[in-house]
Amino acid sequence: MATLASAERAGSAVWSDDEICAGMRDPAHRERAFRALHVQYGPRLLGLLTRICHGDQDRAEDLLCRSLYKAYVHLAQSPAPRSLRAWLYTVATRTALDELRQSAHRDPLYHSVPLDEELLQTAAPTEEAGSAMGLDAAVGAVLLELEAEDPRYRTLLEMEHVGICDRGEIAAATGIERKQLSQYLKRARARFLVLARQQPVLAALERGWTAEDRP
Amino acid sequence: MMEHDTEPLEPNDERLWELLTSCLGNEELGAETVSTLEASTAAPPLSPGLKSRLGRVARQAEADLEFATTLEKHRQRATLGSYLTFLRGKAEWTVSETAKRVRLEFQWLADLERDALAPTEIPARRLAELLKRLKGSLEMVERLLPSTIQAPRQIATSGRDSLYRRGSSTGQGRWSEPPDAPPAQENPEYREQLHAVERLREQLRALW
Repeated sequence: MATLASAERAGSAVWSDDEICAGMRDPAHRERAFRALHVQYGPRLLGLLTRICHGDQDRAEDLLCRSLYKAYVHLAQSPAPRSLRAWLYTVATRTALDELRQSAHRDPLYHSVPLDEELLQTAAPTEEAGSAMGLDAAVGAVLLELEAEDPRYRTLLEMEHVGICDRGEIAAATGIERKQLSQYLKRARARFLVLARQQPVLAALERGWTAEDRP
Repeated sequence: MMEHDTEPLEPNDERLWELLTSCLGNEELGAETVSTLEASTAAPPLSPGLKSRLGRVARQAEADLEFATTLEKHRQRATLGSYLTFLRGKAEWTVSETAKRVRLEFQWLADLERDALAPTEIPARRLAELLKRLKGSLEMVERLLPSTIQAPRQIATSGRDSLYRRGSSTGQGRWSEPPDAPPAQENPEYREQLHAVERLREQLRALW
């Protein structure tokens, strides 16, 4: 809590990420820490969500509120993420993607998580949730390997599939010419598949599909 | 949504690719991705209306944390009824007082709080009004709506040759079945209530 005290003594308007996380863990400072969080990160997240929503400002504001609700609940009871900035971007994009997928599936139980699992974090993970966690961890490991090969591969894939950027936006943001971009993405996709098959969880899953498809 | 000017994949690759892309974003985004997204995204200022809405979000999230702690303390199941009871308790209103203030039938509210109403018996407008007055969060309610489903998910198929009985050795609440018993079928009433939950969720969002 030392970092938080120093911020208060200095009457600092800008809180560091450590101060925000420490403040969110402390009920006495949570309100101000959350205000600092949305003042410092809200505009960028809103810009990102507005782009994902193709300019629909109302929808983007709804998603920002939902994302920051999740951030509030998580930061109040869990250890600070490695990078608050990266974590907030992840929460916002995931909230938006879940929303888009849910509208596409129109299934009330799609991606719904039992309350006890996420909010309380006391219940033992179910088999299904455990397997999803294993899958996410495997994909995370593949992404790290991909990033080690060429950091641009990961960035391009995440920008296209998570940030919902079109090719023009990716080209402008990364400085890669549009003509080259398709080749880069093709290579990134091919390497992603090769590395994924080296992960036991994903390889086993694929073997299962093949067995299912067999007459 | 996305451009696909890359070559089509083999069916096996396509299936794996779909799975992988659906998992992207479940793990924390890469540092370079975040920096690139940040650099290429505008940062519009938050309007005073949005700032005040975020203040409400904080108060609701704080109340929901308290609700979670209360449930844990009393080892209660999280349901829509338990959430409404918690919010009403926080507002220090009795059931009859709440019914009067929100212009609801006493019995309907009492039934809702004891989780005795199926989603088809919960009008969205009435629920939205109640939740707003009790300062509940839409996020929590959306998570709890499936708890209003009353119908069992599956029903046993009955037939002359079927034999279902409580098995003394199979544990409480479990049924022993003959080896050739027909598989249980999904209950159509369950499916109907599932769709009612979805309609309710959509209507609540629209009314929020």
